[in-house]
Amino acid sequence: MSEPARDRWLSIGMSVLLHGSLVALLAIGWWHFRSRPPAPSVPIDATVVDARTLKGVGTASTPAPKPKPAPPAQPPQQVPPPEPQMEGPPPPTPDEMAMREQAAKLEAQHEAEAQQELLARQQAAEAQRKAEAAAAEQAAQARKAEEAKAAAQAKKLAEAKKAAEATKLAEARKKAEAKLAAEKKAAEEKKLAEERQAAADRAARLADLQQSLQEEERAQAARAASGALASWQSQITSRIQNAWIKPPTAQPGILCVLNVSLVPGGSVTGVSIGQCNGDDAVRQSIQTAVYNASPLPPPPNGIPFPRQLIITFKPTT
Amino acid sequence: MYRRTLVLILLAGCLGLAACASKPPKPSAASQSQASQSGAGAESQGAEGGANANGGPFGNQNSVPGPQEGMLAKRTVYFDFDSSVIKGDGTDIVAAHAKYLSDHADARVRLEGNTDERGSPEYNIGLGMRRAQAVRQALLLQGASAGQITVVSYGAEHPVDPAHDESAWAKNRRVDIVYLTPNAPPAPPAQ
Amino acid sequence: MAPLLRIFLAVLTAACLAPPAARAQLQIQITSGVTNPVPIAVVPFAEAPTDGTDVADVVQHDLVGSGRFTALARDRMPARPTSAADVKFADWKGAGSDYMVVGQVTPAANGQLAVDFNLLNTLTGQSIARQRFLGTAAALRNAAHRVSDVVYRAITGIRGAFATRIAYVAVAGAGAAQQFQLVIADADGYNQHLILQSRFPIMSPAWSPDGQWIAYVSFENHLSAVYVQRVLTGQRTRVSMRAGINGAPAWSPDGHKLVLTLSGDSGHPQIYILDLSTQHLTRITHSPAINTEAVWAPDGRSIYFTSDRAGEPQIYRIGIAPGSSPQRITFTDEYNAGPHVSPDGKLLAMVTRDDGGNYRIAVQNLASGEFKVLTHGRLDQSPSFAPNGATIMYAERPGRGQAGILATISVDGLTGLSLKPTQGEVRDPAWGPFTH
Repeated sequence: MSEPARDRWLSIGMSVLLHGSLVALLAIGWWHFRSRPPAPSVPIDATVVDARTLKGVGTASTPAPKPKPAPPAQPPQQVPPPEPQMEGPPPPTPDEMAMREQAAKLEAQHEAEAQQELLARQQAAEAQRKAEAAAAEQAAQARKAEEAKAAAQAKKLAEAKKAAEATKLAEARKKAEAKLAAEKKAAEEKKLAEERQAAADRAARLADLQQSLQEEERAQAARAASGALASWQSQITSRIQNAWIKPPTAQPGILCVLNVSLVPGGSVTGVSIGQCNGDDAVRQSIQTAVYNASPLPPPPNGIPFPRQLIITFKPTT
Repeated sequence: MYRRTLVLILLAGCLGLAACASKPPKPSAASQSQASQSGAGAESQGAEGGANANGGPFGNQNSVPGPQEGMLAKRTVYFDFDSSVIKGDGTDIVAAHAKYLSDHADARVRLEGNTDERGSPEYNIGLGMRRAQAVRQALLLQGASAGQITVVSYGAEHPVDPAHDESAWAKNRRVDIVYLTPNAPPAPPAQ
Repeated sequence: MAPLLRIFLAVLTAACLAPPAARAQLQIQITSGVTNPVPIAVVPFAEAPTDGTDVADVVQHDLVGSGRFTALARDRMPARPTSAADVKFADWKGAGSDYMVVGQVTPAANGQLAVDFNLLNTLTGQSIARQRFLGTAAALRNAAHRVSDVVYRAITGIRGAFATRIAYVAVAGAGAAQQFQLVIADADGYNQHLILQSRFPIMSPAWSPDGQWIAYVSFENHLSAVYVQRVLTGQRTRVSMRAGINGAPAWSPDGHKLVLTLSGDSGHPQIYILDLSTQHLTRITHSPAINTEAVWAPDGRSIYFTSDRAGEPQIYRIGIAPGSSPQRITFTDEYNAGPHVSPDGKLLAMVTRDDGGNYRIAVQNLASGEFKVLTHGRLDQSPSFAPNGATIMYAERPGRGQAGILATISVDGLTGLSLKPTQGEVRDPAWGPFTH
């Protein structure tokens, strides 16, 4: 192939460039991978800290504090002149001095006299006290002697009295006992007499009562023979029992009394709760029961319709 | 001319590669997901109805098919009423799984105890647990190790047959053996 | 006393007692009654509001459902008075109602409604109870239930529990699409609120004594755990997710502790008390058996629980104090479980299995030991007393093809009601406490 020399050099140059860049690439890459360290397997986001930069970390010794420099000597201040003193009274004259001396002597004399007087008074008082004390003691002793005498006398008197009283008492007792015995006897006798009397009375009354009882029994027997009263009673009872819807709180132990007002036809006209230990549900239920049982069946012939009925609710189950 | 252009292109390509070569390789992130928090996440759907190797209608996010050869494909052990004695070919099934577990230390199973629907629900949890424990004991005695086995009781709450007759009840009195991800972590410890 | 005096007194007494001929004073003593339902008329209230709540209808439904009342049909009412002044008692005597309720619903301040009612005795003409309840239109059913509470108490003496709430578990769907829900509703099943939804089983809801919290068991981690959840806010805390069983939570009467069943990884289920403030656990039972389903006695000093230490499950009682040993309570039938104590501490409700293999609800008198089976189903479970102790709610699983429902039975066994869901099935009822 014929090509100009220029072209050939261009081709060679580009070839060199190409091969050179490839080689360079290889070299760069090889150098890169060698010099880069492996990535850490545990990612830690941290920076290395110089302990010395941390404030307050104690191990590093702090330098000893330098001694404070001595305060500079100050120049002596000017001392201010002392303040003038206040003026006192003028000194005394010689005459006055003599007068003062005399007065002082007099005073001393007075004082000595006074002292002596005081002393004398004190001694006198002392002597008086002693005399009084002695006198008091004497008096006391005299009193004691007298008292002893009086006590002894009193004792004797008392003893005599006691003896007299004792004998009196004994006599009185004897008398009283005798009296009691007599009274008892009398009372007993009286009682016996009264009892006998009462017994007699009772016997009389008993006889009367028995008579009236017998009469009553005869009358009742007449009624009971037909069974009317009893059956009427049980009629009313079962009527109300069938009408009483017992609430669960109507348990054995409940006791409630109803006063029921009736009119002759047997209709209930009013109900009032007497003694009752049931709750509101029980109270409602018993009133409702009686009204639902109304009108009550008429009584058998011969018995008038009661105006009042007392109904006691006392569940047993 | 044509050749020159080609070489130029090649050169440019090489320089481009050089630029790319300086970047370091990215580390690969492999995350291990724990089984303790189940949620709306990926729950595999088990087969409809019937007990199967994967433990029935719940689906198990950790369950794996496990071994399927011969006896090992059977995953259910049955019991009589009020009994925790493995019956029938249950003993052979248990033996086969015990050997497998003994040979494969990384294998993990969950034993799920069940009862039929009769009686008090929480007492049935106890009965199901008794059955699962019976299977667990049998596995341990035949070579499995304790760390390979988790035990749970569903009592009467997880029947395979919801009917109310004896044939359904017989199918429900069972322990299911469910294979889990190998080396799966053990059940959560005391909280 | 002298013998003659005694005779005298005796004769006098006899004389006084003999009825005089003139007056027939009759004394009647009533010692028994009947337990028929009380006939009552609940007259429609004036001005029913637009949301459709018929207050009188709610009241009537409450009273009749209790089994203690019969209600006069509306078309047999002689009139429709709405206040005591309007009532002509003579007209009502013939209708056969012993009592009547009249009332009005009127607008009050702040957009609220006022429910005024008067309970009258038609025979005496007296007003027995008269009250006003204020509330929003949305709470009108609750106001009606409050009216029922007052009427019920005035006539039966028992505090009404109509204005209380229940919690229960609802299960819908099947297989992979199965949904478990924890629901709170009024005691009559209305006003349902969903408080937890899960693809995993929920069990054993239990109300705190103040009605603010519910404890329950959830399997949302494939393993059981006990949670407590605040009813108003939905805020919840997991209180136990230990290895093995975490179950059967029940609140202490003071609301500070929970009793739980825990089994650990390889142990038997045992009863523990968890102090909610200190997180301290105290173990109560130590027997190699299933011990579960613990509930507190109302005095807070002992716990009743189910244990099969004797072979089959029976109910035991143990004191809270350390060193107490359990005492067996049930001896009738071979299976007794799921205890629940009445609020007055006198009755114990439970699930019992009879000789025919039927699981039914029974109550035992804790003092006398008297045992009475109340229900007649095949698979009855989970009894729960109303806070007035008059009714028990439980879960009933009817025969094949039917889903589980809730039912109530009165403590005397005479009155039962069902609460059927519109879809799916319901179970595990828990009756909430009084809230007013």
